[in-house]
Amino acid sequence: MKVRKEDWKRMAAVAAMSAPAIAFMTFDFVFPNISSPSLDKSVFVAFLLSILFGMPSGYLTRRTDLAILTVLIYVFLGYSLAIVAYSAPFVFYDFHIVFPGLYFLFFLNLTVIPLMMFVLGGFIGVVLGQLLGESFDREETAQAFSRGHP
Amino acid sequence: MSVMKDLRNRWFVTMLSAAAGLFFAGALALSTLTYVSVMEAREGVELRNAVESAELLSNGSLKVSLSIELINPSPHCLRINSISWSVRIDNTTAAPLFIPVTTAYAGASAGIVVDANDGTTLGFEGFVSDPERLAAIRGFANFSAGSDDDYTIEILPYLHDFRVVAWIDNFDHDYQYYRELYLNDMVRIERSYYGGEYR
Repeated sequence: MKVRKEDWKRMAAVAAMSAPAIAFMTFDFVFPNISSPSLDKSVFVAFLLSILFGMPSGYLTRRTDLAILTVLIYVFLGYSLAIVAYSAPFVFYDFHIVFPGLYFLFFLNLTVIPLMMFVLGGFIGVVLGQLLGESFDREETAQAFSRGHP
Repeated sequence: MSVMKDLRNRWFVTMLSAAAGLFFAGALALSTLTYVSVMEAREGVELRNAVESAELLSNGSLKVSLSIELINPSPHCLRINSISWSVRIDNTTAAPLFIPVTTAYAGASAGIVVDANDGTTLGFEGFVSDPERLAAIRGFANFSAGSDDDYTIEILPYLHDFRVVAWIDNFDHDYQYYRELYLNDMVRIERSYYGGEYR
């Protein structure tokens, strides 16, 4: 199916709201002792939060394929933002790299499992968000009929 | 229906999502700034202005001392975990290879804290009164009198080995698992002064 300009706008808006959470959780997974608040490297908590942050994609996007695409977009954006935060002392300030040689590999090594959790949790969140949206719609319809104004 | 109108119709979830997004953006910014300031501490903390001295007291004992400044330019305080200081004389002419002079140690229980954007002067004194050890030191000084080095007991080439290990602020640092040991190193600072060189 065709993706319209409106759809891209909607996906961008939802991604902008969900990406910071992914970025923070990824950064926190690398440096749990200096980030605040911290999840203390708990993959389970990160997974639950990623389900929560997948729900707006499902709730605000009717089409499932676009909702799943939104999840991929915000996980990509969030992960990129986390890499920027991880690199901040060396890119924006003149500090020496802590782990030279394995700089990005070290980051990827620590965060690859949470990254998968974010995608999986996002997909589950999409399903739950769409169920929630349909439930809200049914409720609104029922209330409108009960008032006699369909 | 336009996107904005649709989001307004679903304002409750939109507001919750936006608020959570802002919260995590703020947390990320705060954590990144903390990361930068920790890096500032890791690179900025230094030892300087070491003053070494040795003095022969009237009772025949030898007093050896070291005074050194620990500078902390970072916005985090430093909690000293350990300070060790040892003095020896390297003996390249005959056995033993070195003559121990004195040692001292201060642990975390000493409760030394260096405030943020501040510095402190750490001083140690050691007294050598053991006749056997004093004889070895005097013997080294007397032996050098026959060579080009004209040492006295006050100006012997005492080798000061000073090491300080500190934790940055109250950040967690007791991680035990292999994959988490880097977190200890992240907030650990180790500086040394050895043989006149700062490291």
